[in-house]
Amino acid sequence: MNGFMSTFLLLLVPGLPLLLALPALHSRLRRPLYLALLPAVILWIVPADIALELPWLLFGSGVAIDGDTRWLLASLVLIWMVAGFLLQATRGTKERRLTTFLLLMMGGSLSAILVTEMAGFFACLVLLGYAYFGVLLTADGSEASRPAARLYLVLLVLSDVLLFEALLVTSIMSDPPWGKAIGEEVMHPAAQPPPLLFYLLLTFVGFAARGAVWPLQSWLPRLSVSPHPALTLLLGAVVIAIALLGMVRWLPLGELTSPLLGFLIQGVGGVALLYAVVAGLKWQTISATFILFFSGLLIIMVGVGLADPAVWNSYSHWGNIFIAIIAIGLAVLTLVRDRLGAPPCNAVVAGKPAVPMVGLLEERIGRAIRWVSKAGFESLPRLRAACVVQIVRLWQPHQWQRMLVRGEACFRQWHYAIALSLLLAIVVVLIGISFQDYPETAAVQVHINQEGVQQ
Amino acid sequence: MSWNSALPLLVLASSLFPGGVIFFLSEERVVTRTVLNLAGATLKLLLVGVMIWGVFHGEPYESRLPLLPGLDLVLRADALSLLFVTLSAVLWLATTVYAIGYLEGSPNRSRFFGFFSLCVTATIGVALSGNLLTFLLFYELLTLTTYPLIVHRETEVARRAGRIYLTYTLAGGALLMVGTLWLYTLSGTLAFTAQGFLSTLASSEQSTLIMIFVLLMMGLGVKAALIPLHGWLPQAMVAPAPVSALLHAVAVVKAGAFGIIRVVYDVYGIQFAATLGVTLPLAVVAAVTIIYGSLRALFQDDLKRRLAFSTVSQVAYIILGVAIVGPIAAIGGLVHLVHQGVMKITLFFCAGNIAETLGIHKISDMNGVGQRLPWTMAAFTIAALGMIGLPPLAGFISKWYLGLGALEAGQGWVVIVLACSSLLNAAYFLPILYAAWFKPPPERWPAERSFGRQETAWPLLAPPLVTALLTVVIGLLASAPFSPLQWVHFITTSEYLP
Amino acid sequence: MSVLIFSIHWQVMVVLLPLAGAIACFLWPRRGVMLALVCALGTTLSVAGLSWLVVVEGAQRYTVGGWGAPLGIDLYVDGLSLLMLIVTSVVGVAISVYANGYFERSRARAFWPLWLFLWGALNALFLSADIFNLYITLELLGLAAVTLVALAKGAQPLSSAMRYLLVTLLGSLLFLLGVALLYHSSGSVDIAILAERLSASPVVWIALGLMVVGLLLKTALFPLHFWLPQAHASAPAPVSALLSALVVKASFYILIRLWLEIFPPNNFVLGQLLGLLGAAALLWGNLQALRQTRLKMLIAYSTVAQLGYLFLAFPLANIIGWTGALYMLLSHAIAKAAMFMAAGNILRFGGHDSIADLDRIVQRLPLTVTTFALAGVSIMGLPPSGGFVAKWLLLEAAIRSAQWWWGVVLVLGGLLSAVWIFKVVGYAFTPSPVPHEVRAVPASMEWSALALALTAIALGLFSSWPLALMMVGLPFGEGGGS
Repeated sequence: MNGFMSTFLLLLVPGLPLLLALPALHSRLRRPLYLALLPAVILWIVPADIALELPWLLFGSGVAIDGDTRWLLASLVLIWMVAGFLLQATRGTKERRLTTFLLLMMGGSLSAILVTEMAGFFACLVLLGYAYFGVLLTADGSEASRPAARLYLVLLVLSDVLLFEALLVTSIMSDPPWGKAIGEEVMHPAAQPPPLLFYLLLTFVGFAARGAVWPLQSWLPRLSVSPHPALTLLLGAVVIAIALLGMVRWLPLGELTSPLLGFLIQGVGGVALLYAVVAGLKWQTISATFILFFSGLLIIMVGVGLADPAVWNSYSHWGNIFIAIIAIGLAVLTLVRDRLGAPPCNAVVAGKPAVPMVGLLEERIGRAIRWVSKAGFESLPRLRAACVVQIVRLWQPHQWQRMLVRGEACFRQWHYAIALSLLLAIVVVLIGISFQDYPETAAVQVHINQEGVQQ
Repeated sequence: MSWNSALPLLVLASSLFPGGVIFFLSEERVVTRTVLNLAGATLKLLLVGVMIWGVFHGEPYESRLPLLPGLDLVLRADALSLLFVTLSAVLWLATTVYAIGYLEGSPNRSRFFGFFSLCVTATIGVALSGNLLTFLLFYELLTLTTYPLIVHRETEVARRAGRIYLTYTLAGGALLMVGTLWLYTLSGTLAFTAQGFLSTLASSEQSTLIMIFVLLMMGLGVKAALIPLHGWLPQAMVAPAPVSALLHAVAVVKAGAFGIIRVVYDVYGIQFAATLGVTLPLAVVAAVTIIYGSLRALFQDDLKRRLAFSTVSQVAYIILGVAIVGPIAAIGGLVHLVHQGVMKITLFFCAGNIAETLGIHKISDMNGVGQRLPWTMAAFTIAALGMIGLPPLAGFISKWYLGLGALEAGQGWVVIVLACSSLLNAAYFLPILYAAWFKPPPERWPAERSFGRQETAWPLLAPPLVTALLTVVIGLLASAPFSPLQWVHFITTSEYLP
Repeated sequence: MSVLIFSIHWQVMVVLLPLAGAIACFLWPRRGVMLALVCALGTTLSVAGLSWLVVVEGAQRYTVGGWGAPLGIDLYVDGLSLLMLIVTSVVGVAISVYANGYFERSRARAFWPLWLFLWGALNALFLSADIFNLYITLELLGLAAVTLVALAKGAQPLSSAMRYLLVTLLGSLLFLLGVALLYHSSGSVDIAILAERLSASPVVWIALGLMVVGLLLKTALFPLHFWLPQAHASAPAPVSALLSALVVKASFYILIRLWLEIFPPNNFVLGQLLGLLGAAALLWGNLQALRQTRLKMLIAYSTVAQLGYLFLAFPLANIIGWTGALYMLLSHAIAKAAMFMAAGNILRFGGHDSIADLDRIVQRLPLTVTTFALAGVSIMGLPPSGGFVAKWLLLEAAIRSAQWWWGVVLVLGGLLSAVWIFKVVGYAFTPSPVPHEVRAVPASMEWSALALALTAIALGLFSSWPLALMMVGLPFGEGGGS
């Protein structure tokens, strides 16, 4: 395969789904989801490692496929096929919009795997996250799932901010720093890089919020019982898997050591495992439990890797494969569950603790916002307005006006006018005579009129 | 007169001349007016393209006219001015198309388009100014030419907004004039020079220079809507949508921000300003403005008002980028001048579309708008997400460079401000998107106009789509040659390298 | 060509042409318009020739009839007087064109001779080289102006004309007293000779004091401005324009001449006093303008305010300050004339000039509103306009001489005038529900006013030429000052 073809193919993998996401395009096609997957399938089949530099993209990016990513690509293609298969049943009026969001998601997820640097990955992650939010609300518009979806959105935004900060810290720490395009001569990094722990924590929490790692998992069980099994599959095998993938990829595992954080993360992973086993053993939320369980396992691995780089280095390539396996496993599970037929879940889930908690949280936030608005941000402008009114009122009472009118009337009377003129004349004369002999009082004038004086 | 000295004048004339002619056209001559407007805008774009090419290859473009003894009216194209000129020229074309659709059939269109062209002329003049006096001249002209646009609707509310606008801007202009003059008496020159011309002054003048700096910042801060001088901006949004779009994205607030950039870089010189100790307070004011603007935006129910407060917040990014002393932050601030313009103009176009097509002005009425106006809301969504700073949209690039620059300059607190602002931006934009896309639409819209198969008229729809696309493109292809980011690199290199 | 230009005595032409025109208009009232226009054109051409002469050869002194300085009449022209002559002819031509459309036949018969007479007096005043001639021309000017005010019909104009008459007489009387005292103490009335011979003594000071107050009264400096608003507002529009633009400036011109040439130096405190009065005028006039209900009264009060600017140059007392004040005089003359003409258009169009009801009129007179707005730009001192250049120079003088408080007054005055200007201009953006019965305004009236307003704007863009002209000859040529 020649260079041009491979370049074209590599760009088409994320490009085609994004292009087809235009409603005008995909509404004319019969199976847009499969069509959009086609380049990815070809890329998977063609056995060649390709790397492509894209210096004009973002801050200079690149896409590549090699051994590890091929595995991930394979699992992702598989999952999208399963999802496409599952979604065939759900043809409805909202189908067009759903397809748009799905294609956006697909583009995001495929490019997330192929992209080679962190800013690009971040961009894909964002696309994926928001598109999934769209998928969620379009496919399942029920009132019950909305609070959880909104909570997911809040976590998404938080995660974006944290990851953004983490990205900043990475690039300021890396040598030479990113944003180097400006030319090395103008760079003078006067900055102390923030402590390592801070950076690691940012990255971990950022990805954990997207990956529904305990204790940020409360939205997961509720969303994973949606009436569409495909959504559950996408949530687990695409959204969460790619978040975990990001964590594995971008934490400096095997390079930097932080025993403290390593132990902490292991602890979190352990608790997640325990939680999954204790709280989640129910048929309706079986896939959520599955995700929680395996993500817990992965977290423990990450923790170990952070604590001891040597261990990680010897097993590192298993990370990607493990994630691929989770995803495929989830796909199988979902398919099986779909074939067996899940009982209607709304009634069962209504009593679950997640929903009231989410509802309560929202209500509290709403109350806080109302309070703040009452306390400060509406009264402040109101106060200013009141001040303005006061000033205007000060102006209006006809005191000033009257002064103006009376003054003018005064000047208009002849005897005042004549008296004023004479007074002015006398003042002028007096000033002229009395200040005549004291040139030092008129420093400015003397200075300027030097020549006149000499004459 | 050689081609190089005529070109800046021609760029100015390409909107001045149509503006002048349009005033004398009668209301009914729609075609002539449209042709004049579009021809002017296109011609300007072409001329600006020529200038970009020339400046990139080191051609000097300068026109001079003696104005005062010792002071000339200088129009000069350098890299920085071209950044702003290009932004104005591109967005003017978009806004003209939009305004033609928006004002179709409304009264006083000749007056509107006349002043509209004059307003753009003044903006281009602000951009091309080669010294502070010329800048002052066009800055005041901008005040005068936008006033008729703000009061264009001729309602009591509009006139009130116009009065408030004038009160703020004329007072600001007076302060700017005093500051400029004072500076002139000290230095004897006002020409913008890379790395400033004040650092050679005696150190005994430092306190005076600080006072002048404060005066200038107050004068420019009015238009840039720095708190506490932002009061006019939310009022001025009663203007017709194209005017708001132009006001918030290109003309007025940007003129203020651009002036601050000019004063800090080309009058004081960034290093000298830092030694004077004036940059940190400026950065703090900008940071407070960012947070305060976002917080106020959070509590607005009127869509345009929310966008207006968002402008207050976003424009302060530019100033923040300038005030963090460092090349990377400078890139962030300067490139946000363009990015904010493109994103904000999209948002205002969309707000105008929603108001024009459905009669919706309040956010609480926006449920399900996305189903009636999918294209408009798609553009709105892209711009709003860009404002939040999500990759790979334009806002991400600016925020990225700002944050990186702040870390590089050792001012970590700025990163926290940026994070807070991102969260607040999300908090006031995402509910709009949520309501518009995912909530069920009402039975009928307040004042719906039908446009057949399209969701709204073409001239109303095309500009926001183009600018939304631009938001994606300039973010995604930030490192491509001649992208705003690369151009800003080019500017910053000249400012920070001797 | 150049031989021709240099061989004609332009100074004499400048004075005699309007006077001859006035007599001709009086004798043949039917041809009045044509005669007057020809005459205006001729005078303007003469002024152009004179300026050519001055620019090429410097300041000129011409002795009428060949009699020398102590006895005969000298006509002296330098940059300052030339500038005043040019302003007069620019405004004069515009007013002539405007008045042609404004007056109906019966009043035109009286207007043209009086106006040309006034023009001649003005030109003579600017060319006078001795203080007695100054007095005579001032008196002529005053009488012509009073009569012109009385041209408007009705009791109100008549009473204000009467008041105006008494003021001019009082002012001239005071001036004459001063002239007499000076003549007594120095034996000459020629300015150049006086400048050499005068030494500071109480008598001289009394003389100067009387002259100053007389001139202040005629210039209507606060608090002696009481006569001006009524007189200017009730006169016919072209007359208001020329009163505000030119007549009050004449007495200011004399004051500035005396101050710079024959006043003893070291009058710092006196300068501060005049500056203080100027500042008070600026604030008072603008505040009064704000509360007027009639447009012409408003503009008249704004004249009171703008005259205050001129006096701010006295405390600043450096070249930049003087050029600033003169530039203000120049741009104010042109802008204010344009503004009064615009007001005249509005008055004619709608039959009233009540500000509250302007919305019915101004929307239908776009050219006139433009005129008003452009003139307003100059009066506010916003760039690019003559007013801006003037304010810039005055402010620069204030900062350079470390008297920043005058700068504060300057800025405040500009902002205050912006308030009333936009109050009026705002009516252009007020839709009126009530249609109004209207009277057509001739195109010549609208366009001549607009041309003047555009000139006022152009003064801001092409300021180097007038500024260079001011420097020709005394008093600014060599180091300025006394």
